[in-house]
Amino acid sequence: MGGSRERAGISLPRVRRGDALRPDDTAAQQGSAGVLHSTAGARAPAWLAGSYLWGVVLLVLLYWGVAKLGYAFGFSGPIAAIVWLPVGVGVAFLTIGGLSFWPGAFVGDLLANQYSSLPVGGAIGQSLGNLAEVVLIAFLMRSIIRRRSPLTTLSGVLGMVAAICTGTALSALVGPLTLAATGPLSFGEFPHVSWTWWLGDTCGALLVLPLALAWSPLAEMRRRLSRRSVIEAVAIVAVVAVLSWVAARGILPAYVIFPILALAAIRFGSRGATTAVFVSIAFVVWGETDRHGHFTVHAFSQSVSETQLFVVVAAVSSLCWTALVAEREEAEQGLRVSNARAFTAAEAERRRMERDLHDGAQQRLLALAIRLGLQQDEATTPALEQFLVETEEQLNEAIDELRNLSHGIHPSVLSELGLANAVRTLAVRSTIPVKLVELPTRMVDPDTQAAAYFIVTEALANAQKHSHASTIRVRVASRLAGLHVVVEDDGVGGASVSAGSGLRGIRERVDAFGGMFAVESPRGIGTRVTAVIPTRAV
Amino acid sequence: MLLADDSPVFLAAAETLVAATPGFEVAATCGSGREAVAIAARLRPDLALIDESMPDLDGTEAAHEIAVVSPETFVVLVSADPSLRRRSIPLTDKRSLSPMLLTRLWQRRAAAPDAAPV
Repeated sequence: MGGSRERAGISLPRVRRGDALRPDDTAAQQGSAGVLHSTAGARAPAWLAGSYLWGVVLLVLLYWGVAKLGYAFGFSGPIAAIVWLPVGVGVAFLTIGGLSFWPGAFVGDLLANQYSSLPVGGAIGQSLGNLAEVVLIAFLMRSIIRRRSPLTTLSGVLGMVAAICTGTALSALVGPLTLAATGPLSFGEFPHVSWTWWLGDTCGALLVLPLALAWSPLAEMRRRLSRRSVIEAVAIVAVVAVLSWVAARGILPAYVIFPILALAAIRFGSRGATTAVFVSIAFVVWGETDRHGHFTVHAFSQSVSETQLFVVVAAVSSLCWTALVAEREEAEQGLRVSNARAFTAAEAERRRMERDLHDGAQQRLLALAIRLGLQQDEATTPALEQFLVETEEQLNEAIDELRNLSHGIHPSVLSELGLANAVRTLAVRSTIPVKLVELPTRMVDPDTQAAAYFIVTEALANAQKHSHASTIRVRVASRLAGLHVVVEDDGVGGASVSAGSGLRGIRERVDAFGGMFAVESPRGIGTRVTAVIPTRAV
Repeated sequence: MLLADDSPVFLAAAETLVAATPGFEVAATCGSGREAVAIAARLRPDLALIDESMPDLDGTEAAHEIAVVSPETFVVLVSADPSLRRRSIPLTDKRSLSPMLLTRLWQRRAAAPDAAPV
């Protein structure tokens, strides 16, 4: 896999490019197991070596900084922690950037050890355990991640949780065992230290890794947030913060946070969920340390364990909600795409039929009309002349019917005249006077154009059949977002989508394009059909 | 005169029509706008009956090119469905073609020899 196909911005800025994790479509095409294209450090070009070094330094600083933060705020002690964030930082970095950054995690861990309260041997053993943990989780993560972020599928989330639990278990065995062997810990304390250690590391990984995955560029496609969404997001985070603070003070039980966490996951996907969980946990842990003082494993209390379990439950639940929402959105998207594809196929078929009619039957009938016309003067008896006249009349009717039919099947008028003129033609044919308020000025792709044309056709047909209106106003406007179609009449109203198959046809067409459709039809006032068809990239 | 239409069936009927019209004679037939322009340049026909909707070069475009390569040719644009008219160029409905119509068109041409081709 050459570096030339590297997509910009997928890897961390200071990460060695060749080693970065990226969502890769060719991996799936080639049936390859994953997306990981790790190149050995030795094979990296010289100019990359510098950025690799920077990556390691960055990881050391992040790892060490976050560890220090834990000590400063008192949610981790020299042995174990309520929430051990560095494991999350290390795993996230190695998962996204590449396993070869492991020295950063190791050095960071060595620097973070509190040598004043630990024997050097125990500290190094503990660091080795932490390193093994980080590398194991990152390795498992990189083999789980296929083409997409693991946060977008339930199996991805469960795989991630399993990877984290496995890796943290390793550290929770190695660390306390080493400390017990070198002195600072008695073997009697081992079980509950190991348990706290395991939960603390799991919390750290569950908090940081999903957050990093959600905000890294390889996460789900970025949606542009409207101003309203931004306000909503800020409001949700604020409510999360307040509720978490209230819960942390013990004023309300901690589970009051769950509805708002669910809301964040549903409304803002993995980014919303991970951020909300992070904010919430920050407050809860802060409340815990505030009530009980700085965390040391010897002052281990029941509430620490409860806090840890709360963190795990909140994080895992929230991730599951996100995954379910993402899966549902993907299913919807797939449905929309297949609808649009079916619609386009039907459209092509209609176009082909129209062309066949026009080139085949229609030309044949016209040729017949000419030949028949030539024979008219040759009629030898009045009966024959009468027969020829009648035949010609019927032939003309057949030609007219065929013309109408081909107009209905596919608007060849569209390809021939463009949407604006095609709509004008419709207006001229209408039995109720039509006022054209606005017509499109820009070219749009044929499918969008055809959809707009059919909407006007159906809406006009509906109005002519049922409305008893005196005038119909038609607006087809090209806007940035797509084509806006409005057909309104001053008739009897009372139209509904369920009643008229014409209107339902319009709804299906608009849905196939992922557009918007509305019918307002108050009785006695009139009917307004509005549709917005997003323009596709041509 | 020159006949251009992408439908062989219609082309055959039009040929019969011209053959049955006194004073008119088919010089060439072809199935596309490009061919029509090339033949017009070579044969300089008096009259050209050209289908408006053809795949490569439509009737209107062919008429403009013929006006350049053979200015004396009088072009009549015909269509299977004249309700689909665009630009304000008059189209003759294919089914109304008759010896009488051809003769009338030609007389009009003779009366106004400098009129722009349609």
